Amino acid sequence: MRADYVEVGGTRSFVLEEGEGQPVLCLHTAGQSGVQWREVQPRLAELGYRVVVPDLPGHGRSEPALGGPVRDLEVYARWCEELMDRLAMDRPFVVGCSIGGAITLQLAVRRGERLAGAVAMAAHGGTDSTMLTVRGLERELVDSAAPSRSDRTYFGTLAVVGRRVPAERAELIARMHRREDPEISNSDLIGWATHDVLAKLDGVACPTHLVVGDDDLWLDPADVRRAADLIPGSRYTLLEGIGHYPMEELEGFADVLHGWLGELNGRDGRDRGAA
Amino acid sequence: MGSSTTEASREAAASGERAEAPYFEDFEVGRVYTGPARTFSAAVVAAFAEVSGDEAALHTERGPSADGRPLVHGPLGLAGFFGWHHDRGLSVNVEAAFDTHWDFVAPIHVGDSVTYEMTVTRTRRTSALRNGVVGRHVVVRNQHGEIVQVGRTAALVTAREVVDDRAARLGRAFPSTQWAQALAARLADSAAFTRATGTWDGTIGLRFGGDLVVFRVYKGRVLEAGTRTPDGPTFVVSAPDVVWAGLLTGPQNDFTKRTMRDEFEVEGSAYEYLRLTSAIVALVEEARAFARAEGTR
Repeated sequence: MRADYVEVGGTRSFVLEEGEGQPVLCLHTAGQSGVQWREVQPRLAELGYRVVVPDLPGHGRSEPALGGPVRDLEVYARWCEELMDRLAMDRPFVVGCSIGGAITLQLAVRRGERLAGAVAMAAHGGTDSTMLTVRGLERELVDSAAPSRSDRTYFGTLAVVGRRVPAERAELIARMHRREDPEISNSDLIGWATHDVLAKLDGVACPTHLVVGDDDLWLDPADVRRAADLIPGSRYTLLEGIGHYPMEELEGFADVLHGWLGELNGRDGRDRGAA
Repeated sequence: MGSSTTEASREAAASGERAEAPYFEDFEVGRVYTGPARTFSAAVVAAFAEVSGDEAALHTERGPSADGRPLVHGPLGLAGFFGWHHDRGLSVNVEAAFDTHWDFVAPIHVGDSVTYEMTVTRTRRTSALRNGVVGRHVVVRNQHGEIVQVGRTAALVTAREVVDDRAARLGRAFPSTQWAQALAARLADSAAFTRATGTWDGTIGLRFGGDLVVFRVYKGRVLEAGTRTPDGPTFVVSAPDVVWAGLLTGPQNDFTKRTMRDEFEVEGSAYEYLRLTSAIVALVEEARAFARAEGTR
């Protein structure tokens, strides 16, 4: 495994790379970091991929974005494009979860023809005003208005981990999720609550797979299904007993993902399929 | 009007579930009762129209929906609950029905089959000791699983034995003052609660339906528990009885999940409520342990 600080978006960003083969970019959730992929990355590399796991700007060991905390997921999408170009990732897969899943959908919309495929987990591509309001998120950007933040992140994470996940595993996930910068997390969530690529999903030009856990209280699986239906030839998977963080919750996730990527490799996106 | 009732009886009898007719002591808070579906045929609805005198065209000729199917009388859905209760053998020791509140959430059409699901939400033995009041929450669903009616209704039920077992059953006697006081005593030994409230000075309110209990907290200790304090609660966490019954007697402490599903409301200082997140989770944890222990120490 190789760790690098890469200059992307004018800042130094932390990237972990492992393996040789078809490149895979793995994107983390709001406020978190690439550490969410720590078990998936080595196993996926063993299965024959070049696995690239960045910390998005302001997260983990990456410097903050130049313009301050990012509130627009398209900014992250552009950042990912620069990173993929910088690292010469040719025809990569992109796999992301939550805001990472939403960024994955943004990338599929923006440059699907240059991707081998996209796996978007826990994302539905639309705005989200039922669970999260921009006003509420803005209010909690002021530290004095956001009491017991880490307790709420801890209990909130436990609440959205699936019923199949053993208690010790859920506890580990929730404890690690406390390591967030609230300003970054809330800005990410503002990005989540306001992004909307639904109108562009019919133009996605790479094989795409949407995945959601049936214990994910943040999303209605019907919304994910609807997004999948908008993408020509896409696949949809409902994970039973899994919540908002499949790559952390599902034992042997790398092997499952390997299967999904194999299926995406076997099918063409709409544009290439038509060619 | 009795035909579908008879069918239901036959189904219940055939299923062999019929045990001894339940007494007050058998209605344990958190217990859920279900049973076979009941169909409201045109004949049943016509009979109810005649008995009640509500022979409006809405019920007898044509309803407002596109297919014109007449609507079942809302009160027939309610009356059907008492029929279901009897059919299930649950009414044998019922002495009286008390307060009943019923919401008509969605229409029931003639020909629809409904199921009743009853959750015991409160029990209180009367001071006479020979009977007790049982609070029930009722959900009525149609054949598509959609909720059509939701109700709350209480019944006075004869006790099996004339004994004072109130102390032994205190763990599920929420939201009585005695329960709140016993819970307060338990919270003194809860490291999670005393730690989370160690720098706090205020009053936590919990509202069960219309009933409030408060816990006056000062630096980790509950000074007093009851129904009021001079300055009132800092915040109040409210939910219907059925939500509390599920939270306090269900398989896991799913308070956070329930808040994410908007099952609770908060009045008063939202800031202090958020600040006490882990304290409330600890309080719920202790109340759940108390409900399992079913008694005082």
